[in-house]
Amino acid sequence: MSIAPAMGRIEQLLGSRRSDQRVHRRYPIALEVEYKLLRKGRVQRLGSGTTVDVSSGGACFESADALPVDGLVELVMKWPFLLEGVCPLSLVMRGRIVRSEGQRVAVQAKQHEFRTAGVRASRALSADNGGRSMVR
Amino acid sequence: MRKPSGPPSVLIVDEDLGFVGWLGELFSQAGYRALPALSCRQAISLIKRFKLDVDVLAVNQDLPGVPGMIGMLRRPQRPLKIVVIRDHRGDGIVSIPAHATLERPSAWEPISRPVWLKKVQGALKQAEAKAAG
Repeated sequence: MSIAPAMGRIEQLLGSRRSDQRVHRRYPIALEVEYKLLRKGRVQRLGSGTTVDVSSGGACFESADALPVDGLVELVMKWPFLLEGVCPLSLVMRGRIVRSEGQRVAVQAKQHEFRTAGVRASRALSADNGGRSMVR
Repeated sequence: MRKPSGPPSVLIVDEDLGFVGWLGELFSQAGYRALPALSCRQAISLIKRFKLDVDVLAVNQDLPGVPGMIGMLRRPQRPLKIVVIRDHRGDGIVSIPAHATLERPSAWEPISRPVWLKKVQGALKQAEAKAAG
């Protein structure tokens, strides 16, 4: 028998919590991802993979390389559609690796944002963000 | 205003990143070009910069700035179809003019892609019918 209804009820009873405190549900989404393993502000390693699930609290992805637990990473997930057919959109997430088992890596997000590539961005782009512009 | 071309588009606006991605995949399976935003402010920025002309707006009604964003997306030529995203813990009241609703699953509820694809297709069909009527 499923415990989902009971857990749902518990969550309902706790429903007065602020929305930013709620449990982040993970959704099974497969997006192409490129990662940068960072150390002391420098890129230590680059790689790519595919996301297994994504939530507001983090992401899990599969990659050919094993990555160290506690490592800081930046993930760039490719949104599958172009804005108005011309401008790529990426989801950028920065965080810490909390689990790394075989090819599967779980990251706890410290921040995330959508970014557009600079093709048609009207805003001035800084040199250190790879020609991307944040969507605020 | 930009002329529509290619598949119809849906702008998904919700603070829950996972749900935005999940709906994005489902809307694209339903034949839509899905564009994401995590707030109305972010959506408005995209609308302004890219002169977005969307067919469907899927939006969390509890976000600040929803009425202003809807105002920016409305056009006289084609009706904007609005699918409201409701929280499963909410009171069920839809506070903005909506053509259909989708309820966000609870953190513990199992989710299935085929079931959710049917939900999304159902919401799109309902929105289409309501907007036409």
